[in-house]
Amino acid sequence: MSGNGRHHDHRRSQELAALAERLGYHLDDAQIAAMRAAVEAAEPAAARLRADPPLDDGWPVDPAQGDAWLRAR
Amino acid sequence: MNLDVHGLLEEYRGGADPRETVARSLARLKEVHEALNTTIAFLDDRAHAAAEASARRWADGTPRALEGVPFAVKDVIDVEGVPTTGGSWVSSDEPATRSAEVVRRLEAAGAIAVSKDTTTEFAVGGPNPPRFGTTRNPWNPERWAGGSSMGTAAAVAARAVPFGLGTDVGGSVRLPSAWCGLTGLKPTSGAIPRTGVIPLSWTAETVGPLCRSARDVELLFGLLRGPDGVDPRAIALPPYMPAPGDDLRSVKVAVVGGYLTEMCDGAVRAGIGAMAGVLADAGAEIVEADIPSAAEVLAIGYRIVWVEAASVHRVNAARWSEYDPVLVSRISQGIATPAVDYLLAQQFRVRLQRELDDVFARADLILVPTCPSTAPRLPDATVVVDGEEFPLYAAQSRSTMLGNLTGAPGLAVPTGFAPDGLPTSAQLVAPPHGEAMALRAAQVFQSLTAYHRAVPSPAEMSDVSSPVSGATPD
Repeated sequence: MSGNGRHHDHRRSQELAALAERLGYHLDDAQIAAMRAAVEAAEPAAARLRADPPLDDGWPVDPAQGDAWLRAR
Repeated sequence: MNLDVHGLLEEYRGGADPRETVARSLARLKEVHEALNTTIAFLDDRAHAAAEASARRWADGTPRALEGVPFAVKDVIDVEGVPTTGGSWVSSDEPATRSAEVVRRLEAAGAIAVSKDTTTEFAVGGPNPPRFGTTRNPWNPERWAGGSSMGTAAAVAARAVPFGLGTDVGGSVRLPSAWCGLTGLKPTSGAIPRTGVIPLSWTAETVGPLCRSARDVELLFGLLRGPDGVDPRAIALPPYMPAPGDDLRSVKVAVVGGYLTEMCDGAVRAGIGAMAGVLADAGAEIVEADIPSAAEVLAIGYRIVWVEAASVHRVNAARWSEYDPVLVSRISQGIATPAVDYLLAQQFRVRLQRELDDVFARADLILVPTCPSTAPRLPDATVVVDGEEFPLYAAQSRSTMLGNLTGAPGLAVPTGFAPDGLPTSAQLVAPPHGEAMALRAAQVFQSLTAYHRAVPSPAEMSDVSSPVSGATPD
């Protein structure tokens, strides 16, 4: 891995550690490293999800209840 | 203890004594635990007292629906007077003050809890939980009984109890059922109340039975189903009505391929084909169908579950160093998921529900693999598909998560055995609150086959040679 890559990883780990701490989770370096790896592994699926258009080219649906009331408009 | 629940009740009607049955069940459970590590707590005193009461009821002619039937309970489900450890070092060992609603309903029907059984830590950790260790598979102890309801599945399969209770967030009733040769139900979301169960995911979690036959699943489902006034997702339902019929004429079964069978062992695929053949011989019409977003389901499902699990486990945020590292590596990513991404993932559920609606518009049931392989190999729980080894989490929930995301029920049904001697399984998925049709199809299938009656041999169970980590219970 290049120096830049290591620097990026280190910075990303620091960001995640700070986020976790701010939200009340106290994770050690190994846990943060595992978390970073998992976050990066999940990114392609997250990117695909963000690229999905809303159903029926309409407004996004109510995530808790579905979209029946929108379809009935 | 070779009988299923129906068989045992028949024995009681013929004069068998619940006190002897419960004593035999506990003795067998202890033997099985020695070989496989199934159990966190044996409930001898509680069970013997209940068996006395059951014996009196059988004697005076007032037996209830499950009078004297012993059962096992995954240790994320409360049983009054017994600690619920969740398989974790961080849990309090204070006894539960009240049983979970599902346990209360079974006990009100006369069933007798005999054990609290091993689980991956909080039903989400790795296959080698640090506190109580892994659970071996009764069909081959070098294989895993499966996660996360592992002790319950192994105890039922090894004939220590006729059924048990598990929980299912991504497949944790259906996968161990599949790997241990059992019939297990993830019910429709909200059909069975979760009150008194350690939570993991508010939107994906269900409680369900692991049994030796579909007829037992139906009996138990009828007793467990319905709101309790506490779990907000457990809504009012009409009374459960079985779908009667000795054949499957007029029933359409959709076989879904694509992603769900792409990374799937030949023996599992053969089981699907054989089951489709039997169902067709019984009169079902087999059609092909597609679920276009199936390949997205696993990653998006986990995305939702990890956010919710990280939120749930914030109560122990200062003690994650005591958790199974696998658990932390899985749920910690939920801390970093933006709220917008979480809500996008929730909206994906609607897209997926519509895709299932399309399939159910022309079919009554969907037939897919329960999981891509037979039981994972210990100690790492790797999954082998056509000779190629895959990490557990890349493979195990590929087709089970479908039900957790959409709310649709899924029934794991044994379909035979692979060349490695381990059970294979197929999953019948029904529309929401369509359990009766899946159970009818499974009962017809089991009336024409005997895979669900196969018993692992004691020799298989005692052949322990693979290394596994974790402590045995005190």
